[in-house]
Amino acid sequence: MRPWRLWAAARCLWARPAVGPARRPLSCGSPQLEELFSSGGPLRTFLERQAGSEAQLQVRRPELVTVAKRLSEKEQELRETEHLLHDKNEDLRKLAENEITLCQKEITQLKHQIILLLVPSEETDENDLILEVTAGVGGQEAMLFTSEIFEMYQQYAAFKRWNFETLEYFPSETGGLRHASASIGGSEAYKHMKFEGGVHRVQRVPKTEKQGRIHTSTMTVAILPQPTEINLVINPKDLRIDTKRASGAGGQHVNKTDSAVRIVHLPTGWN
Amino acid sequence: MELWGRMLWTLLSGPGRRGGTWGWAFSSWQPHSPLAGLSSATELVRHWTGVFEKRGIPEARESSEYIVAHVLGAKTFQSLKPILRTQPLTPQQLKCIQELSSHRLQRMPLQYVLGEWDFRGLNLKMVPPVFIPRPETEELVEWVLEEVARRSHTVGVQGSPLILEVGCGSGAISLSLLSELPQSRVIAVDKEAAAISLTRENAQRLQLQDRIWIVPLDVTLEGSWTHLLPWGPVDLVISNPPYVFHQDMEQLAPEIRSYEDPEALDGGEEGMDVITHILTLAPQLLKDFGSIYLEVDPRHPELVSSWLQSHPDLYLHLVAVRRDFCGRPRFLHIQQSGP
Repeated sequence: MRPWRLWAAARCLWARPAVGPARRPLSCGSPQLEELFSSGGPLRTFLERQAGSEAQLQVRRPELVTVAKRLSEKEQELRETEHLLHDKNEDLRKLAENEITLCQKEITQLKHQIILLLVPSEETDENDLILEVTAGVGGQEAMLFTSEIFEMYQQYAAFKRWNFETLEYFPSETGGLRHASASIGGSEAYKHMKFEGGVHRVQRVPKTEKQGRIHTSTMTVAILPQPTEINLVINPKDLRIDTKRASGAGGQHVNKTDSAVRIVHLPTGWN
Repeated sequence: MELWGRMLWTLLSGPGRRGGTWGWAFSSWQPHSPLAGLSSATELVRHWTGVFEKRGIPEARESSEYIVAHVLGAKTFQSLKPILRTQPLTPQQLKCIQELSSHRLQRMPLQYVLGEWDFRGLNLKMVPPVFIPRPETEELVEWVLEEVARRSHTVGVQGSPLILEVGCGSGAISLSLLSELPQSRVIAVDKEAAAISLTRENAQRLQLQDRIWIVPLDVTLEGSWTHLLPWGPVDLVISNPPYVFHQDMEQLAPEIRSYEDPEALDGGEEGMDVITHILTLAPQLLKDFGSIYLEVDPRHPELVSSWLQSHPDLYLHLVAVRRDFCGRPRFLHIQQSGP
């Protein structure tokens, strides 16, 4: 399943609400959605395989399986209810129509859910991140560009209601920015920012340019995910414990604020 | 130092902000108080470290770091967020640092300068001349906790174990035990009113006041322990008694000599005076096979051992000697066995 197809379908889903009276029972979603879920297509086959796995087998994506099973149940329900559309009893026909509308709504929702569950996400998507900007080639103009980009990210973070904390800020004399870093935290911050890293280039007539020539300057963005939890395993054999409390009696004889116990991690030299 | 002086001069002699007299208010030392808005925490630490070093104050860097961190609301300088270390401080903060540092310049122990210190994870108020807990004593408490856990039948029973602390000082030992043994009760005694008052205050701060009885008592006075008999026999006696040999008192650092209560340190000729009183009277208050845990001078294990042998009527035996984190024999476990 090519990811871009999913993304294209997903974008269309979000752009258009999939509600409204259906003309043909099974295709109440957008055409792209229906194409994606077409019977016999790769997605269907994949879902059937997932749903078919026995409970004894290791189900790696239990949520997806649950939703897929529910989808096929609902579709079955829909097909059965359809027969009642041609019933002689009018009341029964009306009931069936309502039933079918509800069913279709739910089926579309389930299909949305399946797509969201299929889009791959990284472990670190929820993480906070460190943003670093550095002026590149282009002197003052590059530094102005860097300043603009940093401000842009600051405002973007505000727009997304993320936490934005400037850690370092080294401006230049003329209002530009040499280097800055910030800690950004919030819902799916890393997920949205992770592709921002790299060298960015601008080609424009700088403010400082008197003759109207176009200049090219660059700046670099670095995005570093901050781990939420660090699992550290330290072998006691890797530690050396130094005590340098005063020579002599120690105890009541001495009052030092330095506890004088230093633990050195031998492999890294950290203490 | 010189750089600061020069900077100040150029600023003071510039378009008259405060005039030249500002710097001379503190005539006992050079005008090194930075003007507000100029200095960050990092710069101030560097500045005061230099001042302390020049005046021969021990632990110059640690002192200035702790003072600056304290004023900024943190426990250690290292725990301050990087941005807080580089942004300018307010005039009030600068003034506060100035004041605390001036105390440190008088060789006041840092714990008294800050007015608080941690002991085994508890934050305790510190007030001169009440004795400042030493890090070794944390290990004494650790040992007792291990032993209590070993005799698990006493843990979990309400009011158990019942502990007597002799010479509670700031309350460090008693309050640590109470906080880590939720069922325990403590009787804490001290002969110094300031210590009684401080232990009470720390107990309140930590909300442990319901399980501790704080009693002003001088255990070296004849018949004093009889006051404690009504509370019933105790499971264990714990103490960090004054154990410095009298002849060593004058060699102690000025911080200790000038600010801490000498009665909390001086143990007499061989540092044994208070220790022997505790050992003499403990059997009257201990349950059968009850224990005494003491912190002592590294020379005491032998002295205590021979003293106990010459007082067999007490039925006390030195069961174990434990070393502190510097490898010195520091802690004694003495057990009562017999009538």
